[in-house]
Amino acid sequence: MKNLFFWLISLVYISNAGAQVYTTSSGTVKFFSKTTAENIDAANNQVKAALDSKTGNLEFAVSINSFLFKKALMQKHFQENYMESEKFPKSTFKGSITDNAAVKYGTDGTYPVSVKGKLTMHGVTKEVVVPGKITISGSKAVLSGDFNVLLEDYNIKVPANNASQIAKSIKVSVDCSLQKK
Amino acid sequence: MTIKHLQIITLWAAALLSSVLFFVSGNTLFGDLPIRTIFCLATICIVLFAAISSLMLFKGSKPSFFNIYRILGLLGGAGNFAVVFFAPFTVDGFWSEEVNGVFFVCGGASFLFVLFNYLVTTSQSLIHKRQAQKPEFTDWILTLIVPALIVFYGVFSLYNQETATSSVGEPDFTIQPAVLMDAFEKDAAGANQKYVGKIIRFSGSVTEIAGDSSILLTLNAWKEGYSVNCDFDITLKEKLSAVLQGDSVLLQCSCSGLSAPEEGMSLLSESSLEMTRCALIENFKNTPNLGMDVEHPKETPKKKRK
Repeated sequence: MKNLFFWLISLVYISNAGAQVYTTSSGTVKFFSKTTAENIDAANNQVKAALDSKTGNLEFAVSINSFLFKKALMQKHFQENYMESEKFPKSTFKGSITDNAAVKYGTDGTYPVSVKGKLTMHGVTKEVVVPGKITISGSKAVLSGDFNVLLEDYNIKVPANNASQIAKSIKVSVDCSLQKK
Repeated sequence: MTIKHLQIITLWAAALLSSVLFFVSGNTLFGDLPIRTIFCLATICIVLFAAISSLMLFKGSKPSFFNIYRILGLLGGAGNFAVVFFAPFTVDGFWSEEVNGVFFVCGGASFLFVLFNYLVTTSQSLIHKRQAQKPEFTDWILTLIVPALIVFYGVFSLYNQETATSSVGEPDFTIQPAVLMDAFEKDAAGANQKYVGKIIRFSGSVTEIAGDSSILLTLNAWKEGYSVNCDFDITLKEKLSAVLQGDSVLLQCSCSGLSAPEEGMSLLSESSLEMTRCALIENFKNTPNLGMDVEHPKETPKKKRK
């Protein structure tokens, strides 16, 4: 009976040995809107992210009110008119690295990856595929990547009068340095 | 009340309504740049019309038939009216937004007031058939340049006002994070409306210091499974260099709300109170008692300024 208990404990330990979760609460997500009338950019440095190195599962949570703009009026418009942060205070991503086996978490280096999952923003969830890279450096994993978001896909309405100032497609950049737990 | 008083009141009412159109339109259907430019120019024209007319009425001067400021005033009023008049016909659901109805009334009323004054001064000029006394140079400065500069300064500073990098000044609330978290969990919508975007003063002990493009202090929330994330602008790096893990700090930040785990998300299981544009008020250096009651904290809303 003692032996059986020992083997069971060992089995559980071995099966979890490869599972390492990397997390951060200080990741960065930036966005950039480029039009002939005006360029708008904003950054959020309080992005929560977690990566399970064993499964490649990846989660992000972004508080909409934490996006900071250079101009106060732009920030107000973004939060109140476009993202409706009172109704939809958070944007999330839940997915996984499709080629996780190619990433050697134990070896320092930069690995190109593809991330597939569901992006929820402004109350709308869409499947997205984002090309990016993971840089492993000791106990750190730095996730970075760029992708474009079509505003109409997420039901973000820009009044026709403002169309000249805000791009239909917004470039989103992710840069998160995750620490092994 | 004489016609002179009625003229002055309606002229300045038109100027006020036009200013409302311009300053409040930023967040609305009428918020785009070309339309706000029309509102801005219209406001300048109507303010000029009101200022010069008031000056001449007080001086007892009779208006001439052709006078550029009257024509500009009328064009300004017509510009406002044209924008708001056509909007209900071109925008679906125009009347569903209450604020659009207010704009419609403002645009219409400012035009009617300007039109009234234009017709009165035109009829006066026809009756008296004499040239108005031309304003002197100082009158021009007072009535033309000063209002124009004020309007331009207002427009420029409003549009280009930079976001503050830290939350200074009097806090809106002095409240401990645990109490704030409870408020968000009990009534998220109510707490969002009450606290998000407001300046909060609170204390806590630093459990983590991180961040590259900004500085993030994580504080102990005194609640299991919770933390407080406080984001500081990178320009405050030097001031924060003295803060170490374990220090007790008094901060003032803009509240961004509670970030709670979403359904189906297993990796991000911790809730956190998100604070941005933080300012370090005091570092107590490992002093656990901050003079703020952690066990039974009380919320202290800011006293209304008189």
